[in-house]
Amino acid sequence: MAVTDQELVEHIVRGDPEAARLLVERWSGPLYNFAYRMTGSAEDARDLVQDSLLKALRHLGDYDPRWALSTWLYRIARNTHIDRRRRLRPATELDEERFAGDEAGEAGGPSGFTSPLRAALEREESELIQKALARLRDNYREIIVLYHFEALSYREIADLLDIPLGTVMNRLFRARNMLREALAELEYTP
Amino acid sequence: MTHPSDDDLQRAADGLVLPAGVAAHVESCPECRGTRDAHVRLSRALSAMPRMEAPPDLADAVLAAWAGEREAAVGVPAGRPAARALGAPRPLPSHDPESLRPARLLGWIVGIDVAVAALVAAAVLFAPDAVGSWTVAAVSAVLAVPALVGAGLTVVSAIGAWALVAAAAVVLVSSIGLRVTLAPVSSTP
Repeated sequence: MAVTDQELVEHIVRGDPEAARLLVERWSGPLYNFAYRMTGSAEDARDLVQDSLLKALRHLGDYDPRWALSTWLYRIARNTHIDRRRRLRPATELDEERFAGDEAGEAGGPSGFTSPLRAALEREESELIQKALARLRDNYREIIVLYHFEALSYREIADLLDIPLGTVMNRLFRARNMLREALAELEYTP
Repeated sequence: MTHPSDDDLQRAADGLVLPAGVAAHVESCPECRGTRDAHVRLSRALSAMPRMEAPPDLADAVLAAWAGEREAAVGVPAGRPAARALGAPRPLPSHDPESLRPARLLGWIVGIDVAVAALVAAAVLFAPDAVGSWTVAAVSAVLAVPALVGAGLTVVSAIGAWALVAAAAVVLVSSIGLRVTLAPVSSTP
């Protein structure tokens, strides 16, 4: 039976380095996917995940087990992303070309392709969606990423963003409509 | 019945249960069904986005950085313990790392002592009458230098040694000058 996140946290706080390795290996993948979809850059995503996991390890003693660890980790990654954007590129929107440009995967790359044709089609579609996502403001992009890419529930997103459940739904619905409009401007209809 | 809101149709697309009357309308209304199905297609397209895999060395990088922070926090030098064990040199202090090494300073002092001894010997050889008490004082001071070094007052002894060099030089020069003054004047044509 797999060790739970909570058990890992307890072991790490007691100084077990192997537990730290397990936790980092378990969460670096999901956080990287989130970070990549938010930043559109493999390099930025790597830096973001590294900073976020380091912060998490440093402050693991402050983690409140009433929350899911995933919620706590995504919140750290989200706040780190906001801080970095504010510091590095204030008041600028993401570069759409760059946002879609790393999709071929200069790091680990996307997984799950089965044939060249299918890969090409999926890659084209995913690049268009990435471009459309880049046109959204951070708070709309993140809610789409969390709900559709990270498969978090409305409740988990509400906890993570510290907003009411109704606000999560309204924001998600608005974000999807904005994304649909952005896709239409790119002449793409799913 | 009026058409349900777009929010309701998105809820339906997300699989949430709608009130029975609303759900029945959606199923019977081609326009509402079309809108809901468009929402479903978008959701599927989003959910089908490939997951980006983390670089294989990312976890190691995080753990290495964290280990470094912990070592620093408990006072262990931030160097690599393994390299240290294999004899890698410790980092030198940032301030003037060469000039204050004890061995180098001791070398200077010994060199100065030898120079003083040579000067005193030359003074005794060339002007034995003139050196007198100066020579005694200088030799005594030279002999005191190693004692100062032994006491750890290397800086003080270095300053003292330089002072002795100057004193011995004065003695030598004055004695040679005296000898020249006292020498008989030769009769020259």
